[in-house]
Amino acid sequence: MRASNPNQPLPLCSLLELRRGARAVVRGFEGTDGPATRALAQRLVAMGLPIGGEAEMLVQRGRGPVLVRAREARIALGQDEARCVRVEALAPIAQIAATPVIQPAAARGELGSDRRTDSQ
Amino acid sequence: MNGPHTGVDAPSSGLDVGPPRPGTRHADETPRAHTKLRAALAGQPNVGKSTLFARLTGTALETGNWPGKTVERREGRVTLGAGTALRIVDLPGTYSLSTASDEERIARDYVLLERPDVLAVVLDATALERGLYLLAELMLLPVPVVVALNRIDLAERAGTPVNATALAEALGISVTPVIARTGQGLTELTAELQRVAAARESLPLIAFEVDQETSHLLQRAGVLVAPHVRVPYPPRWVAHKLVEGDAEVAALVRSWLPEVEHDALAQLLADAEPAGMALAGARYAWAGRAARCAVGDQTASAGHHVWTDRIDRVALHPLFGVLGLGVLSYGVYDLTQRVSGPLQDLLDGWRSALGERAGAAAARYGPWAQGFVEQGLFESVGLLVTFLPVLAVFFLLFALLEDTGYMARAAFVLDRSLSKIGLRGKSFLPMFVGAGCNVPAVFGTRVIESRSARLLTILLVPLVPCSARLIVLAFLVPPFFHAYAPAVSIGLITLNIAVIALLGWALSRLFFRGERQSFVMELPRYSVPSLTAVGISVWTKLKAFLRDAGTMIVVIALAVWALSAFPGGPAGSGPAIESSYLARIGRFLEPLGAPMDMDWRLIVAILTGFIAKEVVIATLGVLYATASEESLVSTMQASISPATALAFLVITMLFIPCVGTVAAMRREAGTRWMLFGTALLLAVSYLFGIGVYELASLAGLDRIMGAG
Repeated sequence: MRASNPNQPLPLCSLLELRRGARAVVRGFEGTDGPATRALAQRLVAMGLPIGGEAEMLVQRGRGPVLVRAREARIALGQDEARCVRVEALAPIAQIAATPVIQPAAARGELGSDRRTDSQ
Repeated sequence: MNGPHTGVDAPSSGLDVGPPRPGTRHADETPRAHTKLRAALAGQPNVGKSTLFARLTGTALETGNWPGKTVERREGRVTLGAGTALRIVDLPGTYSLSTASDEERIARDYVLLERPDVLAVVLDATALERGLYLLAELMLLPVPVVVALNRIDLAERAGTPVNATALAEALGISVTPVIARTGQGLTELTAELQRVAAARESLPLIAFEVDQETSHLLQRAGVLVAPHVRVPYPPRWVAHKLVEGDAEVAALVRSWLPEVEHDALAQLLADAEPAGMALAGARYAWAGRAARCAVGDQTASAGHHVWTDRIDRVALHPLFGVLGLGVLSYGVYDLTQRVSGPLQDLLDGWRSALGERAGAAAARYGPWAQGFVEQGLFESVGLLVTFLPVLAVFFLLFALLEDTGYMARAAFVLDRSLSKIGLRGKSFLPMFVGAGCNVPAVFGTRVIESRSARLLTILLVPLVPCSARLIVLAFLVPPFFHAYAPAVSIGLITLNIAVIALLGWALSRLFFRGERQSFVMELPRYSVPSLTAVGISVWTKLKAFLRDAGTMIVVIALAVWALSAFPGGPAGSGPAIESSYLARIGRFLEPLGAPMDMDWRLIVAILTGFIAKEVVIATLGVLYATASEESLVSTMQASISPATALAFLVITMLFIPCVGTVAAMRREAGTRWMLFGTALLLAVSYLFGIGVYELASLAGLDRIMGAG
């Protein structure tokens, strides 16, 4: 699938690396197996994790599946699936409440993603 | 918001060019007879679609399978008064309309090829945007759409009330607010369905904002395919699917287009991969705009998720979650036995009383007729009848648990352990059902998307000790093992679980090597189960059991009865059965039993267990020729050593499942996998039988039991 955008100023990590309670914006899907990653991406997008969409880590125990909240849905992903999702971590909630975070300008590839509902 | 790159994918951009085709849009067909209106219900999973369907149709429904697919199909009828009725098909719940799963393929093929008069799309008001994403796909299809906006009460409580009028305005289609759980708004919904279906109202064409590149791509693809698109496919939808990289549509287009044009198209799409994602983004943008019109910018209040999150803290905990699941499962089995036991006895009493009277009535046609009616017909049909209470109670408890949203949590906590034997969390659901009965468990594997994980689960489900096998355990273990009985029973069940793990581990490495199973699953919000939906679920499963397994069970039971009756006589016991064909088969196979010191009677008992596992007891009763249970047990004790009894139990627990399960395996996995599974279990049960016998002899089990 589409790799992370090279022009992206902020470092990306995989969804798996988020700690419990952390929030992030989905930036892309990446995996070794092309068709499988593509199918996974389509599925996750339809379930509420589109590129540009926000996700909050609810359960992450280091082993076993993780649980994220995205667009009012709770989505469970296996470790391998979570690893395929490239995200840009957002500041912890406490900081966001203090200073509104301004999202970086949309990179070309993320056009069409729905930013207004995704940001606070 | 998309800056200078913004383009628009709207039908005006040349996608609907080409000769007019019937079915491009709906101004086409002659109005349908009002008495035969057909509606279909679509929606994402966990939006309350089944509850809404149950509320709409009540008991007026038919269930079956989608042709050629192992996905359940439900169709119901709503009477509209004045002799008109609306037929409603419940489409499988899908997140989108790609071809990733059978469900999605069925939903989209039904809408495209069967053309319902109206499509009701169920949206969850508390997760509006995501539902609108599916709606964006459905609105590309040439069928009138109305929205059923479910759970408006929950949305209001969460602090994000949805304004249905504003939503209708933003979407350009009719929106009816409903509360499926209480039935509120259903009259309005049916009226709306009828109105739109009768009028065949055409859909507004929705415009997506996409970047210039994608818009150009859509337009070019549309222009290329439009002159060749066949009925009933809408060209704009075909263009969208091509850009998305849909393999099925790509194959269709390949068959339509002349080679030159197809090459041009292939070139165009070669670099389209990112565009697929851009298109998905555009759908979400459209969904977001519409949602904002209906909800405004208010965000859900913080207290909204509290309950589900609180329960999940325990239910998803690696230790407490698994413990809780264990307690719940035990509760379900225990309750099933307690409730269904007396019912079963009652039905069994009626069955034998009826059988005797019918037998007596048939007696004047000779002893054969009497034997056939009393032992053949009533025994085999009665077998089914006495099975129903267990299944009904078990399915009821399972459906209740599932409808609360809990079962998805069970899959979550077990995913890690199951992934070690080549399965994923979702395989737990059919396995759980298997502890009630293997037959619906095999059908239950349909929830697993990946083919290899589904096949593997089908191969392993027969090893889940079903309630019938537990009956055999409860009957045979105590007389042979006295004080050790509970330990032996638990040991036998553990052995089955261990064999599941072992075979899963081995099979996933031998046959499904390199096939990575994925685990992606939505955990729905906890909710109070809807009794109507639960009732329909139980009824559907029972009907499937009777239809798919029932016939086979009766036929095979009759065949085995005939084998035991011919050529000696219909008495079914004593010298007659000793000379029967069944006994001859048993004697022929006796050498196989020799290593475990089993005689032909035990072999015949195992074989007849193929009809249904608890038949083993009945067969033993006939072969050891006694009237009451007491004396049967003592006769067996006298002629069978504890080690042989243990081997017999091991084989019964691991042997080929009953005929109903085998039939189900064949239907779900095909004849080859069914044969493979059967052969595998045959080999495994035999090897474990011998192994356990040898171990038991070595350990001096016979002496221990003799002393006890």
